[in-house]
Amino acid sequence: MAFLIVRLAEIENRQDITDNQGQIVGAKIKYKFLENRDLFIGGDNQGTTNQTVELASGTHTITLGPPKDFTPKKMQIVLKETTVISPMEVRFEKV
Amino acid sequence: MKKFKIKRHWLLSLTLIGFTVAACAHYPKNQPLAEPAALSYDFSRFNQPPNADETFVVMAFSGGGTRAACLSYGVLKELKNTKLPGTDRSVLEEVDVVSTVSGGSFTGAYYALFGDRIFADFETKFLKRNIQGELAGKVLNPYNWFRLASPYFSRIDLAAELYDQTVFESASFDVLAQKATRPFLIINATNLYQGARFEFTDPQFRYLGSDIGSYPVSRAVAASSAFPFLLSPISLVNYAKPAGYELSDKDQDALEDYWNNKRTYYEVYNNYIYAEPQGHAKHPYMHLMDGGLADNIGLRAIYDLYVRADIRSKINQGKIKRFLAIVVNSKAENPAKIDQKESPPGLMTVGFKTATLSLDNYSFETVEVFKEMVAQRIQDQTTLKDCQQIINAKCSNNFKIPPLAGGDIKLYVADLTFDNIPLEPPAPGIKGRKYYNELPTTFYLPDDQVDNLITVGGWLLNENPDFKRFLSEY
Repeated sequence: MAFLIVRLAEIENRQDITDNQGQIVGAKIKYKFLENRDLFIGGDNQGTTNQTVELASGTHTITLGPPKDFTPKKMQIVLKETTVISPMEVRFEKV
Repeated sequence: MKKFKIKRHWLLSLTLIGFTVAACAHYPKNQPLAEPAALSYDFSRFNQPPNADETFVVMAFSGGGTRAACLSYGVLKELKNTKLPGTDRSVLEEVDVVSTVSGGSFTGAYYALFGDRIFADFETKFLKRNIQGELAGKVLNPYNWFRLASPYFSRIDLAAELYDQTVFESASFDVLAQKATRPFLIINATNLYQGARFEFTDPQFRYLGSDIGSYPVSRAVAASSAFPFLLSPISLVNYAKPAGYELSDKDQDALEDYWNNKRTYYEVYNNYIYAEPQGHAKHPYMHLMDGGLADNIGLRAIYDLYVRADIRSKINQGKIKRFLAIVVNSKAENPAKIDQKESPPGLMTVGFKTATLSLDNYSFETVEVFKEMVAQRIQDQTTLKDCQQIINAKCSNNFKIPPLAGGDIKLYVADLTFDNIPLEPPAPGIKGRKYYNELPTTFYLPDDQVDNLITVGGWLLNENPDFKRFLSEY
């Protein structure tokens, strides 16, 4: 078995990182995790976001319950080599 | 001369009738699926009684002929007599899934169809009947010789007819689907082509473009108990899929898992070869035999539900608070005393051993794998709690580890086998282990042996440490 945690996140704060010439080379983003949403994996309800979900290792297609205010609309992941205290973390962003 | 002419006419007429009977004899085909409508005989639809998920009880009934049917019946009987502490409900009322193989399929199917009526008439309708004698009588009936001459009708079809008329009252899977009341029955057989487990459920029939609704339960039980050589396979037609048919998202993901999870991959791939667009042309038929060839315990179906299907979903949704698996394994010891003689065993003994050794080893491993999986969940729950305690004690930032979906579930696996019985009789009415281990795998046992098996089924349940713990922690 393997472990997954899915988050619905919103950007709380974004700070661009620039090099010596002032060029943006990256960003520091602080996310805020939002409310619990229903979690659908392979079409089945598998609980909610913000909790560690136990699943068979392997390929899974993930999406969230309504409202459809997040991106991407669905995500395919390969879940393996996790433990209950270090689950794979997947993030949907609120739009 | 006239006498000879009359005889010749009789012979000719008889031959003609014989050919007609043979030409008409055909096994009842599974029906094509008209449209990919909502699933009917599927566990997801079995939601009665209300709050059925909180205490989730699954049962696996192994193969082993009448011996297996009696033992599983004895366990059912004891579950009915055992009340859940502090309630007026019996443990039997909490049974949600029954997965069966071969001899165990008779008890499981009868209980799923007729409920508590099993305790009134199953002993006379099945357990105490000489089923194999009746079947032999059918084979010896000259009318059936002509039917058996047809390439599309064989001994297993005679067996299915017998079960249909005398045990299962011509019930089809529609009867079970309309009840939609738990327990959900999973009858297991083996697909001879791949050696893969085949279950008589709607999702499995969909891979064949077929509707399970009209399919007789008796034929499923016959397939599940079609012991190689004694009985012939049950055949199913793989139809072209109706417009709009497509594999589920979950199956499509699994087909990408060859390198990530071969167990999941093959579970779906073995069905995909029938379900793919040209599957009906490449594999137009499927032939099924005894479920014991793929899994003689019946636990693999429950394993699959637990790992990647409905039980997993219910755990993650927090619907299940306690989970009990009761494995009724009627495996007996092979009576061949091969280690008593210096000369090597003969061809028959070696053949029998070769056929059953790997089956027994696989059955043992199936139970152990399931137990380890359940133990791992308990360990994960404990690990999470322990880590949080260490964080609470050592860190000041109030960090909370994300909770495990489903929370702290209580899980138990009660593995009931003759090996649990001491060598010496442990209680009045219970014999020593050797007695049960030497009972043959047949479809006839004398009444006293039937009674002894029923009694020991109840004893095995009550003496099982995990079942005792389930009751005491309820």
